[in-house]
Order: sequence, then C-alpha cells, then structure tokens
Amino acid sequence: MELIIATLTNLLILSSMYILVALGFAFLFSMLGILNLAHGVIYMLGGYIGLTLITALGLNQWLALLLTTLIVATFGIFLEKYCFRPFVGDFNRIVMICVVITVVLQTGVNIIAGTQILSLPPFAEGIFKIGPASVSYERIVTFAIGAVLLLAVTWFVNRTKWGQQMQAISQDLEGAYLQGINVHRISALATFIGCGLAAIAGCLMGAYLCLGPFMGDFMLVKVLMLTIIAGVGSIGGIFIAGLILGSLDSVLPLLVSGAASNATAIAILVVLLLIRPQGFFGHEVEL
Amino acid sequence: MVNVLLEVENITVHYGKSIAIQDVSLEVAEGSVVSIIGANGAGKSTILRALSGLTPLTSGEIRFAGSRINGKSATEIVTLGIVHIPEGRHLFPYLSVLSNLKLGASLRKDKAGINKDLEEVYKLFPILRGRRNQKAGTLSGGEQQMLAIGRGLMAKPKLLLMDEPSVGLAPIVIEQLGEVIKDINKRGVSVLLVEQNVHLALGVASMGYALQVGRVVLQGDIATIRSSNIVKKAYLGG
Ligand SMILES: Nc1ncnc2c1ncn2[C@@H]1O[C@H](COP(=O)(O)OP(=O)(O)OP(=O)(O)O)[C@@H](O)[C@H]1O
Ligand SMILES: [Mg+2]
Repeated sequence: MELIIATLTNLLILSSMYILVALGFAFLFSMLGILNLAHGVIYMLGGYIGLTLITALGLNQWLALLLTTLIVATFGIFLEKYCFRPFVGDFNRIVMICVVITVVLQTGVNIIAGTQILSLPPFAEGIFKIGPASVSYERIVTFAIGAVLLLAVTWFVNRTKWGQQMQAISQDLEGAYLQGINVHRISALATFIGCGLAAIAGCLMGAYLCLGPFMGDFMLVKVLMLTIIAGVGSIGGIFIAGLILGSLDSVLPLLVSGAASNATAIAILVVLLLIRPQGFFGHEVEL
Repeated sequence: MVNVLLEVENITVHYGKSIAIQDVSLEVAEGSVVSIIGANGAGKSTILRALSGLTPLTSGEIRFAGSRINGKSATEIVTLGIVHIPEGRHLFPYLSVLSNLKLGASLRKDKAGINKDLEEVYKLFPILRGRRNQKAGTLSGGEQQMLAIGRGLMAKPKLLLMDEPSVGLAPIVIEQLGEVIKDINKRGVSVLLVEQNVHLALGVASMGYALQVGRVVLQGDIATIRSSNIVKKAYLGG
C-alpha cells in the first residue's frame, strides 16, 4: 500500500514537472523553430535562484518562488530578444549559442555554489493520512502546483487571444504576420511563460529531490525525449508523453535497479520511436 | 475626381541577388478593383508581399492614403487597413474555422464590430457557419479559399490584396468568386487582385496591369487591356 501510493504520487509529480519544463521548450520550437538546448540550465538556474533568495536573503519561500519565476521569465525575454530572434532559421548558430549559455551558467553555478548537492526547504511539511494510507503534504503541494499550472497554461493557450495567436504562429508563421499578429511580442511572451514554468519546476524539484549544477542536463534529456514521443504540435501530446516518461521513471526503478532502469526507459522509448518515428500525437490530441 | 488610395512608385525588389520586380508603378483608386495579370514568376506575388511588409523594397516608394508605408511592419500595415490574402491561403490548419476568422480580427478591439463582421462573413459564405467548429485543414479547397477571404474581411480592410484566389476552384465557383469580389467592393473595400485567370481578372476590375518578368508592360482600363495584343496572345487564345 505505502509503496503503491509513493510510486503513484512520484509518478504524478515527475510527470507534471517534465511537462512543465517541456512546454516552454515546445513553445519556442513550434513557434520559431528554435531548438532551445539551454532550456535545461534555465530550469537549473530557477532552482539555484530560489535557494539563494531563501537562504541568502532570508525570503519567505513562496515569495522566493514567485520572485524566481519573474526573474527567470524576464531572463527568457532577454534570451529571446538577443540570443534567439536574431538567429531564427540559423540552426547551427542557435545550437552554438545554447551550448555557450549552458556552459556559462553551469560553470557559474558550479563556481559560486559548488558541486555539492543542495536542496530547497520543503514547500510543505507533515503527513496527510487517510486510513492506512499516508502521503506527505510536500508531495501533495508539489503536484497540486504542477497540476494548477498545467491547467492554467492549457486554458491560456486554447481560450485566450494571446494563446490563439501563439498557436497561429506555430501553425503558419506567414499567415500570422498577415493577420497583423505581432510575432515578436507573442514570441517574447511565450518565452517569458516557458522560462517561468521551467524556473518553478526547478524550485519544486530542488525541494522535492535536490539541486545540482548538472540537473539541467538530466531534465533536458527528458524534455527532448518527451518532445520526440509527443511529436510537435498539440499540448495534449506533451501531456501524454509526459505521463509516459513519468511512469517509466517512477515504476522502472522498482523493477530494475540503479542506472539500468534509466537504460531500460531509453530502450523502451527507442522501440516506441522505431514503431512511429514521427512521434505519437502531433496535432491529433486535443485539450 | 476620385482619390488615389494606393500609389506604388518605381519599386524594385530583390530576393538575395536576383531581381524579382523592377521599377513597378501602379495605382489603386479609392473604391475600385484593380487587377494584375502575368505569367508564373512574373513577380505578381512579390508586389503584394512588398505591399504588406513581408518583403523589403530595394528602392521605390509605396504610399497609402497619402502617407508612406514602405518600411512599416506587417502589423502596422494591417492596422492601416491593408489586408493581404496570400497565395496558398496560409490558414491555421489545426484551428477551427471560427478561430481562424477571429484571428483575422487580431488587431481589433471592438467586440461588437467583430461579431457583426463575423455575421457578415457567414452571410457571404453560409457554408462556413455550418463548419465553424471544423478544423480549417479539413475543409475542401474551395471552402478553404472562402475561409481565407472571410478571415481577410474580419480585419476590416480598406484595401484587400488578393493573390490568385481562383486557384484550384471549379469554373462555376470561380464565377461565384467574381460575384463575391464585386460584392466586397460594393461594401466600400478597394481590391487589388492578382490573377492568372484573365477572365476573372478582367471581369471584375476597372483597371488592369500586365506584368512580364518583373516589369509592367501594359496598363490601362479594362477595355485597353482586353484589346491589347500582348494579352490576347498570351491569355485569351488569339
Ligand atoms: N523567397 C524567394 N527567394 C528567391 N526567389 C524568389 C522568392 N520568391 C519568389 N522568387 C522569385 O521571384 C520571381 C517572382 O516571383 P513571384 O512569386 O512574385 O511570381 P508570381 O508572378 O507570383 O508567380 P506565380 O504566378 O507562379 O505565383 C520568380 O522568379 C521567383 O522565382
Ligand atoms: Mg504568385
């Protein structure tokens, strides 16, 4: 019983965090064709900024979470404007720029914070009990934040004017320009949201698991796998792919020990992709 | 004396090093329909792309309602009332018909006006009303063309630029398209129509231009165009 609940909550948390980070990556990729390989370090940066605001400045951790989100989201706007937009369509240069951003941020964090494993204080304490079952409030809160954010983003993309314009840009860029859509502003907005979400995930994961300068690499691999499984297109595909990855990462370690579980997960994904190289969902899944 | 709405003066456009149009000048009078005809690659679409801010000019000037618009962004140009229905439609294939139409009104804030124009579009193309929740990409070619026109109208244009709207349509539908263009024009929208279907182009317009390898080779009222040897030889079969 304990094990089932622990696995299930872990599954939900991992899935929602993967999806949160993947959304920002997918926005940039589908709207501007930019492969933002720096998205992982942005997630990492979020975690460390959150920790710094809490420990060095002594801020309340919810306030720290909010501030971190705004700081990293604003950094996203800067990235979009100076690092991505001038090079749209120039794949090689974008990859180079992302590698540079990754190296600079990783080394910077490494020098300032060191390689030791740190973590944010938990966002909630105590244990929630119903009958024989018990779950830590931290898990509940972490998943709840993830779930609310995912619902909010889905609503935003499908129901608001700006969200519709984001979709328009990703489906036909020239068509979007011709409707007068301010492509630059909407791309900046999408990057703002995407980086903000990654930062929140970084803080939550930094509390739920831990922080390390290279946590972004791990997440980037997840995000890439997730995007490949989903196929570019709908948010729905990203959600399903996120759940698949989260399930693999939470269930497999019970069956296969240690690093072998990661290898098994990748092997399963490779087989899936051999069956459907274009990804599984694309625009087929509506939300 | 009718006001000139659009004045294009000696514009030249390059793609990279190759020249697409050279020293093209044309005018659209307020309230009129003007056609541009020309063979594949003559530069017709390039003229429209230059007008809507998609492609920069190498030289020349474009004035709309008396003020210079070349160099302005696509967004600013739509705000001024120049709306371009592009070749190949460029619909948003995974969004519904209704979403596509609403995106046509991206820059408008007058909710009531938008809803009124939506009704107008549905009146013009009743088929779109029935299919408003269907994804644009699943419409037939003709329906997609109607949607592209409807989406353009949702921006409340003063000048509509239409690039080969007849492509892929059955002859009877092309005839209806001619009526639609006249209808749109009657509502006070000026139209600059690019067409390879010369019958349609000459049927709805009052003025015409013929383009050959990037240059205007003929211009004038429709009677002049119709009787010109160039057009007769190239398009009207004799
Ligand atoms: N993006 C581009 N890059 C390079 N050359 C281009 C580009 N677009 C058009 N051209 C060239 O510019 C010239 C004019 O093209 P344009 O599309 O304006 O012709 P068109 O008259 O609209 O032809 P069609 O009737 O086939 O649509 C052609 O020679 C074309 O090959
Ligand atoms: Mg053309």
